[in-house]
Amino acid sequence: MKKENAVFLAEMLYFGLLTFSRFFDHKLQEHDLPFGFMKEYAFAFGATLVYLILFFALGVVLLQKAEETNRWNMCHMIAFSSVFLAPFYLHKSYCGTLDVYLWILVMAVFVLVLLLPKEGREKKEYALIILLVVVEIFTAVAAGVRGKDAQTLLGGTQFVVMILFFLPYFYTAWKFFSGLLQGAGKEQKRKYLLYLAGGIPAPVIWCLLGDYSRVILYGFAYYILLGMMFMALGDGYFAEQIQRTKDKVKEYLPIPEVFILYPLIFITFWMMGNENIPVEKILELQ
Amino acid sequence: MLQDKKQEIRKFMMMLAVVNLAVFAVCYRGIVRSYNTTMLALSYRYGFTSRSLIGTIYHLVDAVLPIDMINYDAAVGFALAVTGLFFVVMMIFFYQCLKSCSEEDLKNSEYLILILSVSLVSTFSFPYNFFRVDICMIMMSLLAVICIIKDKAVWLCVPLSVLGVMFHQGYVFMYFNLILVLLLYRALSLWNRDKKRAVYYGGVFLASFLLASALFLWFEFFSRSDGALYFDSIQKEAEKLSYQGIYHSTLLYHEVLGIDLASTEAEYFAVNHNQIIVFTVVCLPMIFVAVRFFVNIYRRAEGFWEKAKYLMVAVGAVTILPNFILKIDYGRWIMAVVVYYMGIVLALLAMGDPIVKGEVQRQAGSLQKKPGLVFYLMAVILLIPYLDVNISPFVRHLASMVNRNILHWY
Repeated sequence: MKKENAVFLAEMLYFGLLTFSRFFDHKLQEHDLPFGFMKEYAFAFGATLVYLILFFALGVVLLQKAEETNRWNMCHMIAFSSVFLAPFYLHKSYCGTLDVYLWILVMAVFVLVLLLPKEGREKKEYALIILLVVVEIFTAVAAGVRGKDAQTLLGGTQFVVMILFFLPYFYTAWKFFSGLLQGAGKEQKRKYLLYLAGGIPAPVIWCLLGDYSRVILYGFAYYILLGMMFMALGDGYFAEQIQRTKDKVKEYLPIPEVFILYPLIFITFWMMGNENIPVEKILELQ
Repeated sequence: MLQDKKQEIRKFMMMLAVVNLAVFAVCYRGIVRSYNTTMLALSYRYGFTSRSLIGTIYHLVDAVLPIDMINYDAAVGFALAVTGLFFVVMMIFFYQCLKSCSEEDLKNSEYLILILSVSLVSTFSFPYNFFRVDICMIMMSLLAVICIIKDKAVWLCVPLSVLGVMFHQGYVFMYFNLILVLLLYRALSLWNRDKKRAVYYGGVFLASFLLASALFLWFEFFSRSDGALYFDSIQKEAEKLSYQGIYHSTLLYHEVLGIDLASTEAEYFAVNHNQIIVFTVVCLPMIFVAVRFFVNIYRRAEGFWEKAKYLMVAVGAVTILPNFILKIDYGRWIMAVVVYYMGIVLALLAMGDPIVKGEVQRQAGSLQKKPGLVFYLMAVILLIPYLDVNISPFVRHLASMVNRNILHWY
């Protein structure tokens, strides 16, 4: 492994450890799961660890597959995905949920696809999109609708305020996709349209169920994860559009890293906030 | 100022305003803790007593405005206004630092400002420290530092220092170091070039130091002689000003009656010591960078006085040490350390110190070559806000795990 990649992964691990320390609460809530043993604390904790290890392994493989010209962008996208995927399933409301097991499946498949020979890129990309869309919708239906496992960590008003604060991301996404589709060939356009449309159903379902934290997670994680996979599989056109978008972001953000860390403000204090304690409890403290 | 630099600063300030607004939105809860509302009941009506300046201002506002301010809702409104003023002063300070630094230092200053800004906004918007008198102390220091950076109306450092101590005598340990170090730094830097100006800076330093010290001694040892006469009336007001009438009794016993209740805090020292160890371990990468930074600066300085000057800059935060030893609000002391180091480097970049510029460019250059820099910036978000007895929610959580499984200190 290259030294620069090793250093980056060590820094990612440092962030992961900090995230674990910040959000993991050693508590497990009751969730509707298919097997009884999944509700045991030890099993749920073990599954969460497996999920995090696989997420880290995905980062390792993505960096190895990224071309030198795309290395920085891949690093930043890995960091951006970490903002959402690292803390989310450490919080007691989401630890041990059905999502974790399905994300384990997704991460494992993603790693395996990257380790396969390079041929058949287009087929792999379609397969990945369909896999992620199906898994996300299945999770929303199985856990949210049937399992009634929608959490209310994030209130409706908070969600609306977050959406307003996240308007720059919607603008950036619109610019990204319009640029992507404009210059794409017919076949590519079909794939990118599927990619664009595939990220909508699951967040909509969670929104209707009132689990706004999952709306944010699934909304961002889908596009970032698949975007990284496209780049790692060698979609040069996609990688160029990422670079163009990044250059545009740098024009209006003097510190481009803010684009990545900004959602963490809301995740830390609202979405995952153990500080969401009642006002009266704070006032009791002398 | 060059057009490109102007535009960059404008974009940065807008970006920072949005980030600060986001941090405020997620932290602010619309409540003021009893400690901070009770302080509003203290005022100079009862004598020239410690921590009474903010209460005196509050009573003046009550006298001037046609509404009754002696109630909790008015206290919250006042708290919002003062906090808003604090954020404005903070942004003015940042703007002045950016305007004064050279173009090649602009980006580095921006990174430092981002870290300091999210730390300050989160700490003083979050309910634990919302409307803590620390914001008034920081404002005094930032205004004084602006004067020093611009080399204009430097004499204002004297009244600003005095006001800082009048807000809270702990100012001499916490935020006064920024003013003192920079005044002495200027005096030593100017000594060979402009002796008259150096003497002027030395004079301002001496006046600030002596007046602040005298006031500290007055407030700490002599200012509470008639407290018993006024206790009941102060207590009644504190009840009206506090949420559901629950005022901070310990504060009144200490400030009005002079009863030292330090022994009640002893049990928290075990928490403090556990947390400071955990915090230090977690921040080792940042501490390593900071130590390397100051060691390199010291090495590059030539001559005894230059070395002494940079040594003073490096260890200026040592004034906070008595607080770490005697008092339990470790979260606030850590905030003071962060403000000192970020503030001092920003000020020295703004003043164009060649050695500091060179070292910042070297260190920042190597950090900015790594895409992992974003993880360190994200670490800052995870470590905030700073609280009081507990350093931060992150440290509290991790330290309690360490204590439960390994140390068993509390």
